[in-house]
Amino acid sequence: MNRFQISVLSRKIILSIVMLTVSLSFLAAGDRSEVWKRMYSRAMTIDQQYAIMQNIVAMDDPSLIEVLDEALAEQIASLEDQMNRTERAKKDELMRMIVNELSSLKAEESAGTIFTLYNNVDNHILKADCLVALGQIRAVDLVPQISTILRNLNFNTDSEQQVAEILAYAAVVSLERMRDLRGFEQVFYASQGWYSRRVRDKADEALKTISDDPTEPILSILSGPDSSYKTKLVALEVEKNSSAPVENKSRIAVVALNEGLRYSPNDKTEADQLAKLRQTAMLILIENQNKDEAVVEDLSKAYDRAGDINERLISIQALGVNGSDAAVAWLSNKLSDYNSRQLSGIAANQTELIYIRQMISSLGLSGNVNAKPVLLEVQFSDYTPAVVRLAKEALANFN
Amino acid sequence: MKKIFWSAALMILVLAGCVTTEPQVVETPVQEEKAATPVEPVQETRIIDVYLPVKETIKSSDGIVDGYREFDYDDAGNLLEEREYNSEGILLTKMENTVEGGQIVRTQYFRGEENEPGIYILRKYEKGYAVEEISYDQKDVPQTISRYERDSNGNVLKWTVASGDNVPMMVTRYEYSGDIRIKAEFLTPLGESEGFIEYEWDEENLSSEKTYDADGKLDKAVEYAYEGGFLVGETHYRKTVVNYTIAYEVDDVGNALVKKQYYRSGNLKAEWEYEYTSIKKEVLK
Repeated sequence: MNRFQISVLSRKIILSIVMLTVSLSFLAAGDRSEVWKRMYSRAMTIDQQYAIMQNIVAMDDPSLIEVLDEALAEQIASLEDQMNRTERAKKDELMRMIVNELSSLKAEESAGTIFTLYNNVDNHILKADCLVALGQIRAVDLVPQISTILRNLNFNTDSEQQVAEILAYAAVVSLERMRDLRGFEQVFYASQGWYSRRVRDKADEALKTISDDPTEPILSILSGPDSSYKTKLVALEVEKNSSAPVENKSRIAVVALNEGLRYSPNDKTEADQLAKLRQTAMLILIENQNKDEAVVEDLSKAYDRAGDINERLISIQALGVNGSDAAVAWLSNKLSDYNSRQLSGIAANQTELIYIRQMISSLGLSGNVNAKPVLLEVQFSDYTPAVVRLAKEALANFN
Repeated sequence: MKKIFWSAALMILVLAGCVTTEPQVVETPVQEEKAATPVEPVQETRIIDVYLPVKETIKSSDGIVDGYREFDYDDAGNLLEEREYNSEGILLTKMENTVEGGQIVRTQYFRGEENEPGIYILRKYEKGYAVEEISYDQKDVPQTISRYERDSNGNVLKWTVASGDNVPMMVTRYEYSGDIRIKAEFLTPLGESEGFIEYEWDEENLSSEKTYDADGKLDKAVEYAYEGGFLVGETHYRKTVVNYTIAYEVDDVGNALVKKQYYRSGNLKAEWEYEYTSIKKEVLK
């Protein structure tokens, strides 16, 4: 053996040792896959199948997806076979193992088999595994079906609530992993549903993952006749806290404001919920500097409908930010009425003065020159010097 | 170039992702390296860097992280623990190795955050090579028993798998050209062939692996592609039709940084990103 050979061999020995100690993974493990595959096909009992499947799963070999899929299909085909409790438990455990491995291998081609198992098996843990696996492999074709499963669970008609909770959690995880907007609505309802905090929190978290821009499903929830006022408010807040574009958030706020005005509350709780919905919507419009003239009518209605000072002030502020001719005209008319009353000797009370001051500020900030006449009028309407000064400051915006 | 090849092979093999239960079976020319025969002592040594993956991040085709694995090693580079997490950082599975005398004598699998025990595998070694592996279920009942017969260089000649109650179920025989494996044949306990794999080599690189059924018909195949001695691609066939492909992006020492799996349509199915640590190994010059 010459020096070169010794050198190469030494290096090879060392590297070989390193390989053996560092890793149990090898380039070509095809023989191992083939052996376990063949043995599985010859296994006669559940015990044998289970023992061999453990080795197949340990291979984590994508080339075995077909084998796993066939094995699962065979197990499904024999679901009705007579067997004792021990065998049934082993069979369920075997199917869980296969489903989890198909999930790990992202075996999209096995989605149909896994969903068939979901529909045909009673074991709720196994059903839950199927749902999670379908999410993990991104079986997005099944989003409508899984959404329907979650919708039915959200209705809380299942007599076994604990089972329903497990399945709902799995369905939420599944839809979260699919990241398909079609799954958003039912996950949203799950976040507001009857479940324990664990499920609701998971659903809440999933909403952020499913889509950066949930505008479309939020629109559906907001407009939904079955959505409670509280649900509509939460939907609006989800949109507000999302990463949706500003124009979409404003679009939702406009709808929410309209919804907040559409209904008549039956009690104080509902009145508070609707007021909160309107206020949140208007605050979003203010934040987003919305200038859509079409919303002016609802903003003015919100002023008229307002249950407290705060809501009125917000609506005046929103109209000022809107700054359209219609908004300025409405504010000018209101302010002009106050001016006339003031001139005729009916002094504004403290609350009205707060509104008047906000109207002056809003008209000034509107930047719309149509606001000038009424602001000039304020100076000759017998207000206190402080109010007159405020009007002058507002007019300064037009210089 | 050879040095680069071996370190590349090491890294790529580490990342191949197939956790096998038999540490000695290697289909690359590395068999040649495993020679257990005494080597003339060479006094001069040098230090080499051995790269070990510490994290594997799994991403979906849209680039969103679906989960990750973390790997821990001892100072000698023995894999001690592998943990798999989902995208929320929840522990899904864990594998623990017990190392004694530099050899992995026990592998234990766990499931879930509660570390629910799964199967475990015990290994016996002779002359530095695994000769027996027994897998047990959670109730310590033997599930399968693997036994290996080897030649004087440590190459596996025969692998017998028996049931947990020691009834032989399958035998695999291996053939070599020198120390390079060229064939693996699967036999029933009665000696009937159930098919075989043929390995083809391009110098030191495994170029293809073809699996035939008992009638000698091609069942599936894998072709391996190399650049500069580094594995950069795999094409997997079902019979003669492409099933899926894998592409590796490697760094200048051959560490696979990214592995991408594609559907037969060419669309990306998933990708894996790798991070490494390195340890120093003293080797003979």
